Amino acid sequence: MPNNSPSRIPYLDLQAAIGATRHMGGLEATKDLVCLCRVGPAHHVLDVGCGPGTTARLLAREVGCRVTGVDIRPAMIARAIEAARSARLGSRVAFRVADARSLPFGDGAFDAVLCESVATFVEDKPGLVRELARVTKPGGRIGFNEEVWVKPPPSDEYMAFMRHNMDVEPDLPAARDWEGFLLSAGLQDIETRVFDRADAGRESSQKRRYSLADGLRILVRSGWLYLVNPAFREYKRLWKQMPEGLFEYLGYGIFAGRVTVPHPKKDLPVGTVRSIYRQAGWDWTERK
Amino acid sequence: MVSQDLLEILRCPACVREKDGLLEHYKDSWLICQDCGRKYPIVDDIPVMLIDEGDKWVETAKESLPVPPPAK
Repeated sequence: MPNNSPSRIPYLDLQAAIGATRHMGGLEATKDLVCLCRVGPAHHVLDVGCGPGTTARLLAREVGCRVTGVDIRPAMIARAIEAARSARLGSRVAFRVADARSLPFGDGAFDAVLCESVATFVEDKPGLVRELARVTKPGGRIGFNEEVWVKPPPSDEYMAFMRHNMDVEPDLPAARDWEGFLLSAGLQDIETRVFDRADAGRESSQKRRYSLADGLRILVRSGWLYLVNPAFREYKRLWKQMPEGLFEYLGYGIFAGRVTVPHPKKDLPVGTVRSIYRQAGWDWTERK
Repeated sequence: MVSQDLLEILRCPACVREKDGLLEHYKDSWLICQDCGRKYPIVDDIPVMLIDEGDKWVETAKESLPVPPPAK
């Protein structure tokens, strides 16, 4: 169970208050995701769980494509719209308040769909993949950047930290499970890259997602929250109790696949998935 | 003002998987599903496309909807 004690802010509300989100691998991981999804200037891209619109602005600016961002938190969307206005991106970016699990778009509305560190917080991951595939044009790609354990954590302490401080159910799917989710949503040409956090250059690119002005705003907001909000201070205190070497074990995977036609409305029967596994030469372990 | 071509791709999140879920743009403040009658507010130019939000207004006649919609 997530830690809902009133003395602590839920992780995602905290991010909304600061106006910053994180995903492992930072800017470099975003670039990988964009490459694996073959995003081009003529595309209309959906960024699911866009937060304050950092990736959406980056794509509109660097790739020149149109981007729609959705986030379930109105506070995030308000920040995203404000930031896009200051960046003078005009009609190239648009933002909506929406739930990733039931998107307010018709089938095949987008050329590519990106999802950065969002599925980790959603219980029904195969259902989420299906919903993203539904709104993607046949031939378009969807890509995820999500947390995975790169090595089994040595004790329960690591799991408990994830559960209580990041509101994440720490029984994370493995990279192979992710491939299974994409396959069972009818995707093909699945590409996977798994990273640990040993590459300091990739990790420091976290900050490069933000402009200097954005960075300063985030710093000021965090400082202000620290002063006025005891729940924020409590959060900072809990964060310092991170078990040693957590990020030796916790890494991330980038998973992308091509949407084919037609997308299945329901899960594929288990027998079909088992047969796909067998043909691919993968181990099949029975899941509940 | 929410631009028309961006509204064009919006659908009712509750209906879109089974039906069309086409939305009527009402007084620049609401999006009304033509299938289920859920009404999604446009607050400060931001369409709030959450099913829970649409549920709140499903029984309200469209003539009685507040314009502009109440801010949260």
